[in-house]
Amino acid sequence: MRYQLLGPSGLRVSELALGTMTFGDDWGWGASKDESRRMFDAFAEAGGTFIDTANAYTNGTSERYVGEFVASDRDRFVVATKYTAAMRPGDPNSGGNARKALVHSVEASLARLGTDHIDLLWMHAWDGLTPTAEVVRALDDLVRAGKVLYLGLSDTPAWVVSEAVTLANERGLTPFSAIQIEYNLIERTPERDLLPMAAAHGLSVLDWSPLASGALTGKYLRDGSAGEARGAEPDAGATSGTGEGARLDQMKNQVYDRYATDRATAIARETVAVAAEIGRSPAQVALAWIRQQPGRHVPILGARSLAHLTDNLGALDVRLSAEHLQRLDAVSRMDLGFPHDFIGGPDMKQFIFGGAYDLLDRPV
Amino acid sequence: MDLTSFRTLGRSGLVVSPLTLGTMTFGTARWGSDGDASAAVFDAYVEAGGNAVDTADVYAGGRSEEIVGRLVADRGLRDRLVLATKYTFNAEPGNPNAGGNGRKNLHRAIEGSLRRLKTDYVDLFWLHAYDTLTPAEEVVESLAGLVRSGKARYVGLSDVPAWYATRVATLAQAQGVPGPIALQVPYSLVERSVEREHVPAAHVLGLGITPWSPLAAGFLTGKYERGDVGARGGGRLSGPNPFGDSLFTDRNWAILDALRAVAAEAGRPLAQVALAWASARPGVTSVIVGARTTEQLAGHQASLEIQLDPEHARALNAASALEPAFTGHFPPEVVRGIFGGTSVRGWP
Repeated sequence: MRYQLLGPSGLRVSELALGTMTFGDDWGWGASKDESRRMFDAFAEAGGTFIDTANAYTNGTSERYVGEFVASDRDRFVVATKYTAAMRPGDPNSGGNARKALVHSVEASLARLGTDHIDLLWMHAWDGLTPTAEVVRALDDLVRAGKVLYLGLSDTPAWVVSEAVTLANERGLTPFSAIQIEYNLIERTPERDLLPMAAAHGLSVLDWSPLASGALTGKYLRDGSAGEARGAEPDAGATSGTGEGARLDQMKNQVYDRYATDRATAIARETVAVAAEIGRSPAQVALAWIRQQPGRHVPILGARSLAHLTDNLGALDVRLSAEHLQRLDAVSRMDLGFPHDFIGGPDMKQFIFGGAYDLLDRPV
Repeated sequence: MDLTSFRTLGRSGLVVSPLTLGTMTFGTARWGSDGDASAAVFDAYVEAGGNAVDTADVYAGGRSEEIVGRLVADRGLRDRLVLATKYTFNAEPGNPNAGGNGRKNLHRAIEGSLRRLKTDYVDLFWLHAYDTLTPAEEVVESLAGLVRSGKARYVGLSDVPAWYATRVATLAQAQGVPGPIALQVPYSLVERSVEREHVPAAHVLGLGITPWSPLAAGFLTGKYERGDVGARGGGRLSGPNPFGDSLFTDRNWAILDALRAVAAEAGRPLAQVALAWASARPGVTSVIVGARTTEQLAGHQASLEIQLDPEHARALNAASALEPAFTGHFPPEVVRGIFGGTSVRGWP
């Protein structure tokens, strides 16, 4: 395991993060406490330090387990949690991005985690209503109070991240270090806006659902059903404080609909084929693909069993050849759409730079 | 509505017509118009009350600006018109500083534009396209400098990623200098990508949207048919063009079918319905229309009379809906979940 700086900050994080939406069985498909502990230990033994949870994951159980697991060596771990999901149904101020929800959510997370500070706090998902200036300032206040050390934005449109980053910098407030988004071989649409935006601002990218809810392991190719698929769009914790069964069933169907397309099936098949050729698991291939894409990616491993997690950790020493990368790209490529197909192409660069673009050394 | 149904462009005091006259066709040999035809279109637009004219230094190699400049000067219309031009494209092969969005090219470009336009100021100066390199800080500072120097009254951003527009607008706001008031992007029934990021960003940032190519280079007039890709039709898409054959897709033919059906029921030409659709989209301030003839222009104007039947709007929206994508914009039911299952009305 190697370590890297998180975005433009000084925080060192492991090159893989452990996702803990699976910690606890409150939502009907997670891991028991013992299995969660085994996964945590395996991740830590492999050198992993970056632990990602959220206020609402498994109704707070995930945070409680994480707090307990890191307690004996708290300072070694980078504990990240999130705010935004409502924790009291029917109370609109118990969720969202506003200062009121933020403060009580962080207090509750600190209590469940049994710690006096959160290393990295994520705004879990953009609520579409709260002014960005309020969010930026309120987050900074928590940092000044010592309750939070670093900041990130999860599931937020590129233009909103751009606004938040610019405001924080202009006002001398705590800068943002990273974004967290869904990104995998099947869901490559972040290549349009989110990834170029992150690169331009020097942000790290935490990739959730790197295996496309398991579709990239090839499991749907085998049994032809979504099986025990779990919610993927968006990450269930962003919206479900109570995790009702009906909601999860609906999500399972959505996951199945998304990954049962011809395109998704072709991508899963190619991933399985490449894996067979190099003697690795499809999951390892899918993770390696993300890590070899442009940008500062940290995939989030979300497993329900020690066996799966151990397999995923095996991705650390997988490096795909140019030929394999090319094949995976060919099967999963998508139209970028405006303005990226319009302004990113070679003709346009010639048009703007008068034939001198390729003679120009550019900052890396 | 007609051309005098004026509105402010974005969060600014600049007042424009609901249709802007685009002049990319002025002085363009193969598919555009010569000086006389351009003058006829220009006069018809102005006589009908239109006040917004859009050109660029790169159109017809500067010829468009020259034609517009002469027309405006001859008719003594300078102060009545909202005159817009653009910079970014290269004017001197091999010289990277004669193109792009850096300050050196900006000053070179606007001096040339003012000379060709025979004026000492433009009302709206557009950054024409994202050049991928120039820092947003430099763009903000140099565009604001133009406003302070009096060479431009307002500035706008064309063909940039939404996050870059947001960065520019937010920097200007934070620094208390004049920032962009408008966003010019392709927007039509077959090109709705801007709804993912640009439209919501423009709303929050106070940018008026001025769609270009609202008829998709003529595709939405119905003059192209499935199967006659290439030779027939005599339009821009029949020869070398920036769209290649990229408009002739199954998806776009299906959108055209839906448009045909709605147009037939409404008893209007396809182009008018397509323009009415674009004009009615949330965030759109002024649709940029080009015309080679006064008849075409009259058709565009007539689109302003159309109020799309909700049923027709639904049919067009359904046929042209965007593919799902991960953007971080969640659907209303997800946002409801964030607020504990309640419904919350936002500040407009």
